[in-house]
Parts: sequence; C-alpha cells; structure tokens
Amino acid sequence: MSPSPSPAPGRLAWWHFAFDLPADWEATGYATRRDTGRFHFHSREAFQGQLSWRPAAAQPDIPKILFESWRAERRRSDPAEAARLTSLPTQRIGPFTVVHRDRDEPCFAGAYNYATHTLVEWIFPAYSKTRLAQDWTPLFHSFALNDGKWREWSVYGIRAFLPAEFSVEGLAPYPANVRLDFSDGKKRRLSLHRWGIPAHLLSGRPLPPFHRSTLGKRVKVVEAVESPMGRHPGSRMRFRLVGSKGFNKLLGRWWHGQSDLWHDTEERRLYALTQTGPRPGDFLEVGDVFPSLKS
Amino acid sequence: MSSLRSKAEEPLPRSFDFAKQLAAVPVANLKARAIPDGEPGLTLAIDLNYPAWIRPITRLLGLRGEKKYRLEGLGLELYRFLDGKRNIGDLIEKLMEDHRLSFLEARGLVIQYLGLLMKRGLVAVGVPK
Repeated sequence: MSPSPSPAPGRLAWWHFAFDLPADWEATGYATRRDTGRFHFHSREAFQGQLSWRPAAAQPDIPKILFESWRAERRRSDPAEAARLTSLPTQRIGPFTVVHRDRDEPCFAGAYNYATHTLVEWIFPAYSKTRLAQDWTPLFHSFALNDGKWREWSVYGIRAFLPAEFSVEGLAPYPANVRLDFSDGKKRRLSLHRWGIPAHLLSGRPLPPFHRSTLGKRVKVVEAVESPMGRHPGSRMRFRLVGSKGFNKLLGRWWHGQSDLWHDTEERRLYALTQTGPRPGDFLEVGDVFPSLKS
Repeated sequence: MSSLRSKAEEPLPRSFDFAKQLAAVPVANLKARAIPDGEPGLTLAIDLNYPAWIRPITRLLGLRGEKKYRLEGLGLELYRFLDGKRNIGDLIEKLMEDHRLSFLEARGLVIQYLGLLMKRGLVAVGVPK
C-alpha cells in the first residue's frame, strides 16, 4: 500500500484492513488486538454497524457463516422461521458476500482476507435498500488490504503510516483528545496525539509551553526549536527520558526522545508525534508518518 | 462453529437514547453570584446550605458561608451559553460549529463539563416530559 494523503475523518485503517466510512459514522467501541477484535460505529441518530475480524486458516464457507449469524439473530424474534430455513440467498458486493432478508432486520456481510488469513465481518442493525446502496456498498468497495511495509493507522481522525514492525499497544479516545501508542518490540516507542479546541488549550500562548506540558515530568528537554511542519506552525523538542520505577529510576539508562507538535489552523487541531528509543538516529521522519504534511 | 455461535448470539449494542438527552435543558443556578476580580475567566460564589441544626452556630464554628468556583476555557464558554432555553443539543451544535468538532466529540465534552458544573451546584438539568 502506498501512502497517500487524504482527509482522516471517515477513515478506518487498522491491523490488516482499511475502509472509507460514511461521513457521519464515528467509532464508539474498539479493540487493539491483531488476531481478533471489533469496532462499533454510531451516527448521531443510532448504532450503525459492527466490524469484527477473526482468524480463519483457510477460506471459510462465508454464506454458511453469515446465514448462521442471521439465524442466531432471528431465533430471538421468530424461532419457528429460524428453525425452518436452511439457507438464504446471498449477494456479492465488491469483495463482500452479503445476506439480508427483511427491511429493518439485521444485515450480515463477510469477506476473507487471503493475505492475513482473516475473516472480516460487518453486521448492520437494520437493512434497507437505501442504506445498502448509499452507505454499505461504497463501504464494501472501499475495503483494502493493509499489509505493506508501511501500514496505515487511521482512527478517530488520526491518519498515519508506520513501518510494519510497529504494533498498536494502546488507544485512548477521549473527546477531542485522542492518543495512539505503538511499539516496535525493540524498545522503540511512538505516540500519535490529536487534540481539538486549540483555542482553549493554547489560550493565546505560543506552542512550546503547551508542547512541554504534554511531555510530562519524566523528561529532560535538551533542545526546543520552533519548527514548521509542512505549512503549519510547529515545535520540535529533543529530550532525554529516564525510567520511572524502582532501580530503573535511580540507575536506568537515559533514553533519547523526540517530539514534534504542530497546529493545523484550518482543521483547528493540534497533532503530535512523540518517539523514544535507545538511539536518536532510529527516529522516523514526521513527513513519512503523516504524508498529509507534504501536501 | 462453536466460536461462531457464541459471537453471533451476543446482542448488538443498543442505540444511545440521544433524542431524550439532547432535549434536556441545562439551567444556570440563579443564586450563583459573579465576583469581579479583574482576571480572565469568571469567579462564581455559591451559598453553602448547612443542616438546620448547625446553621445558628456556623459562624461560631468558623464554617464558610459560601464556596467559590473559577470558570475558564470551555467550562466558561458553555456556562455563558446557558439561558434556560437552549437544550443540550443546541450546546453540542454550537461546539461543533465553533471548534469544528464531530458530533460525538462535542457531545462527550458537553456532558463532561455539564456534569462538573452540576456537581458544583452551578447548573441543573431539566428533562422535558
């Protein structure tokens, strides 16, 4: 997958898949595990759908799986019909197989990801022809594999690209304050941060004091410069970091850190990329992680 | 298929009852007094309400008669917008427009800040029948 800049809202890219979501959908539930997990999406009006993924060593019988899911749901409202039917007609939309029956009943869709041996499933709470045509069909067609040397991570308005060795370790989606934490398994750690309402966060101050406050007390800043990121005003801080627990706090090695923060005045958001590791030369370029800065 | 069955039989999440929540009207405490202090922001004082048996001796015990709260930033912005007519949905719309927030972001912030203001006795929320 080649990194390409585009607006982040309405985009979901996670471990091994990516989707363009309908504009008014927002994630309200998430999972960070690679092998299995799910996302929930709501719009302003209602619950819109659940995306889940799970391992499947070989191509599964997707129509059968979707039918069983439909039957399990139907058992609650009409056990007799659930017992009587043995299959349902399926529809193919893009890479997805889709099963539905009546209007306002749940609709199920599934696709097998050969590259990662994963079954990706959508469940929508209420089927209608309009929703299928306007929301779900473009969603199915937007499905893309996310398994290149650089993997896209897009959620809650953040859109970033990281080398494949980085794994997500934590996600903290507070309102207008989202943080994603990653590690490469070799002591390099990286955080992506996105804040809203910069007018109140900055309160007329320049970026560096706010930037310093985001780094916490454990760091010793060794260099702070104003550093524009693309066309946005920005701040770069290089710092040293020591352990915070037990003997590590007393005798631990001082690690290197670098943090870049910028203010997207059009979008009215603050973004930060903070990296720590044993060697400063290993840090990623901000423009590679956020290709939108190059545009 | 056992894992499939257990997954499929889990109920889907229920929808938030957005409509009822958005129609609720937050009202500022009329007894809160603004105290001018020349600083940016707003300081509000609220009279403390002690149990009847202790009221005659509150001064003797050195208990405070009022409590002060300082509002700044988003809390102040929301507080100034309360006129007893605008409902939570209006507050959310205002935040979305003024700060380019998504609906759920703005909703989260409004609920969070109104909760804090309610806890301090500065705001009450009325739910229409």
